[in-house]
Amino acid sequence: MRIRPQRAHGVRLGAGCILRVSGMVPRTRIRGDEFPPKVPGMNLVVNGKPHSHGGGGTLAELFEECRANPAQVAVMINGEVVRRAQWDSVKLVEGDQVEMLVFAAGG
Amino acid sequence: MQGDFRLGDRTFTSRLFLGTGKFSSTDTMLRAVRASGAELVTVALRRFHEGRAEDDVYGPLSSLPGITIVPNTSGAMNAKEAVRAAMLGRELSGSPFVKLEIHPNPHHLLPDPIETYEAAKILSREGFFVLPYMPADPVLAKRLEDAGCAAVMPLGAAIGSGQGLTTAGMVEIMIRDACVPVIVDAGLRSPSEAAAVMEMGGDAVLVNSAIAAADNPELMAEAFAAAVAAGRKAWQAGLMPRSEVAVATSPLTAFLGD
Repeated sequence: MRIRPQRAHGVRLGAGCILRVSGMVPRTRIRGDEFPPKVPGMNLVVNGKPHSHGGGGTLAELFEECRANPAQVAVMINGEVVRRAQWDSVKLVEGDQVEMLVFAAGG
Repeated sequence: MQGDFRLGDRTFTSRLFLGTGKFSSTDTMLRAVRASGAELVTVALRRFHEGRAEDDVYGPLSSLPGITIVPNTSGAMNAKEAVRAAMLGRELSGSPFVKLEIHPNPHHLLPDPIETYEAAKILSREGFFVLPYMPADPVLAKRLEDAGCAAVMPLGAAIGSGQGLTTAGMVEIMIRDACVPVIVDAGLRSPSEAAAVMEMGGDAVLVNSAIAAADNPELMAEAFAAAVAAGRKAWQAGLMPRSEVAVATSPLTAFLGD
């Protein structure tokens, strides 16, 4: 996840930072053109499962792919709650772990 | 008649709050909520699954007029997780009410007082109206009050156990000392136990299993609503003093004897 502008300045890079670095590794190898062909889509982990994201990394695109109703989900990326007001400035990156939560019956 | 009840930034007429778990269907749950007259219901959070729209409770609940939906932090094992869950819940409910529950042991589901206190401090500072599920401990209640909680919610017995108001003595002390509403949550089985809480001056009760697991949840919801109202009236009316000996209600004039 990159939330502009905070992340652009390199502030508050937590667990997400490590994930992004590991996400860079295959790309470096591709440039060395030995390994492997670039996979289509961005590899995310959504609700604990691998998810190939075909869009440009916006939450709106991800909701559409997952057929989630944006009005009824809360979002956490790499362990950080992303408030609704910040959604538009989120740019997902390779390896991001996204949680989408909804209300359920409970006591 | 029951007297309005202020909690956070809202005013409630009904002093019966409902949990929405364990009902056989969403429809049954909704009918019970309606029958109970509850204006505050609790819900949990879970991961979104595509194609499980039938599990959606938010849509149907929010269509009921005058209902405040309060997310809980169930599943949180510590303060950090609870704070995170509360923030996610606020994103969904759009309101700062949260039922704070941290019960790391699935066998008894008893609340962790230390983690609960830590989370309550953080969340209150963040502007949440924190309703902490807690052990019936009068000292902890004052600490949670000082931490900024909007109410305290002592357990009657373990969640879903139906063992009743096993903590009556402690709850009574909490009610006497509290500067915030005292809401008994968990463990109740019968409406008479809810009435007992209200008779001793409790501000509200939160019931889930006793209604959801009844043969007829809708009817049981009505029974709890009536019991809560009756208990509240009894408290307002003021119970008579206890006496060690009998105090005659009829004149004992000896006209029947010689």
